[in-house]
Amino acid sequence: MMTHTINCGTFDDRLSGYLEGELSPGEQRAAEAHLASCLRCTALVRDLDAIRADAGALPELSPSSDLWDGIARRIEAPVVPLAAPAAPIFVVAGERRRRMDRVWLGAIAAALVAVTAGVTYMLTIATSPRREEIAVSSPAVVSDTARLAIPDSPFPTDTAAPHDSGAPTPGSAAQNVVNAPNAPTTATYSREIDRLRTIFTRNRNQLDPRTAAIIEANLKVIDDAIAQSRAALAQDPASRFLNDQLNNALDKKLELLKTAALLPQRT
Amino acid sequence: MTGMRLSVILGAIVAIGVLEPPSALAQRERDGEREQAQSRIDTTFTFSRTGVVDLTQISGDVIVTAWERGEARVRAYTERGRVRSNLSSSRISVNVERVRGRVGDSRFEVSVPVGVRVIARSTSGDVSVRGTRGQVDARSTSGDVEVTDATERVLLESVSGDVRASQLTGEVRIESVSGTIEARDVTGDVRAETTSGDVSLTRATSKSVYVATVSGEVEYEGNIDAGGRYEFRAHSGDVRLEIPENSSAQFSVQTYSGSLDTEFPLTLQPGQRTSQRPRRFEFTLGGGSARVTAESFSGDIVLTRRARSSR
Repeated sequence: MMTHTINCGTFDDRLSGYLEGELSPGEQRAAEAHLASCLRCTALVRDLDAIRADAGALPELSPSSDLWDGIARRIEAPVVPLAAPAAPIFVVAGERRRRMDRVWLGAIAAALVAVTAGVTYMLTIATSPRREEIAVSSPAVVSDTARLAIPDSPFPTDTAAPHDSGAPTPGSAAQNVVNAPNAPTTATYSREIDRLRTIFTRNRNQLDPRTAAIIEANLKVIDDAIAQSRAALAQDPASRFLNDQLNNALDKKLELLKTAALLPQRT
Repeated sequence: MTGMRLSVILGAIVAIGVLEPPSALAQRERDGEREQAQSRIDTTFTFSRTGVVDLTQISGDVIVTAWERGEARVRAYTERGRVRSNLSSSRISVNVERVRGRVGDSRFEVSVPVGVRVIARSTSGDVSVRGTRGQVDARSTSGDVEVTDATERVLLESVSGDVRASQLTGEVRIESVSGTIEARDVTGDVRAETTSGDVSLTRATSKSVYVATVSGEVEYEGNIDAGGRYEFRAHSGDVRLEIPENSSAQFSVQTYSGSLDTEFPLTLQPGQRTSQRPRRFEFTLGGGSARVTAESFSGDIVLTRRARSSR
């Protein structure tokens, strides 16, 4: 029984069939043989499997009842006769490529939905039972991707006075303490930022170099803001203002990485 | 190999003919829908005022203007690629397809009836939408985005280009990474965010404003509506607010290492020192019905009065 070897391009073309189990036995063997020798495609399939598993674990959401009116209006946009249409020229070439682009875009979009929903879910789980208590008693944050729970009050009281002495310096052990109630949240943020960073790194060569450089430069701007906030927090760990600053910077980093992951390919 | 590819294409064409019911084909023809692919388009046809325009560019500008006529004119060309269009009386869809991986410079110019919904994107070109008075979703990666006279839901984005907007009404969301955001005469809820660019909102009339930047500066000149919420955040940039002197609002102003400069009366609480970090001030104007938050880590916060007659 002979197995034809395939390259990454062919594997991409057959990816949706592979994931759906719709390949012929020969194509299936070729795809598996290719996966056994290709790190890029193996990672891709693993990521897509993880996304599918994560998405499957999300709670079922019901759209609000007033959503349908807007959808129906768009579907039922009135049609009026078209005057003098130009002669049609049907084109098939390129359709497959665009279909794959849509598959990729859909996969990335699904990943981002899963990321957003996952982070929101984890934040809800981590903060909802004892929000006030957490806000008062968990000042220390600390990994690059941690987030603290902040109550809803529009004008929170800044509880801390500056520490007199012995304040931890940036990068000291105190900064690396993770409070137990926030550990799942911390891990979620860390995982999602790392995942989005991986997508961006993987796609970087497909982007316009200037755009990629701008993204990198702005990630650096945000990382500087994170570092400054953390350094200040080390001096004043209970400051809600500084926690807000850190949280905003972390959210911004997540948003920028999402934007970067969805950027179109270079011209 | 070529013969095999040809047979696949022919098979696909036959399959389309077999799978698509005649009624569907007839319906599409009745709707006047035609899919085309060519290097240049210039056509004018009847178009619904509640229709949708969806334009996607790779390397070139997208320009959408509006007129009172009940028809649309689509002009598009590309140097090396292929312009794909799908035109009906309720939807215009135009994009550029690469040919052998290349596309060259392109340009879309579309005139539509007032009221249509516009979706316009370009990777490296500018996007301009003027006078449509409908929903607008305009995005560019490295080009500028400019929109005037849009309503309902307005979403404007650029990565490295600037975003300029005016005469917007409704729910407005503007995002950029390194570009500047300038919005004038905005009525409605506004959310504007950038990473390293500046954000300027002038002549704003809104009950809900959220403006954030990391290293850029924030400027807001507009109303403070009773019961409204206004949030302005920067990390290293300054935050400058010019608001009516008769505003009714609770203010919360904080900066870690910047300074506060205000034309409004400020009363320090017992034990409060202006030198402590973070510098945090709260004060109330009038009945205090709105809430205003202004924060910067290392930038200054400047509050100035706008006389009622200046608007």
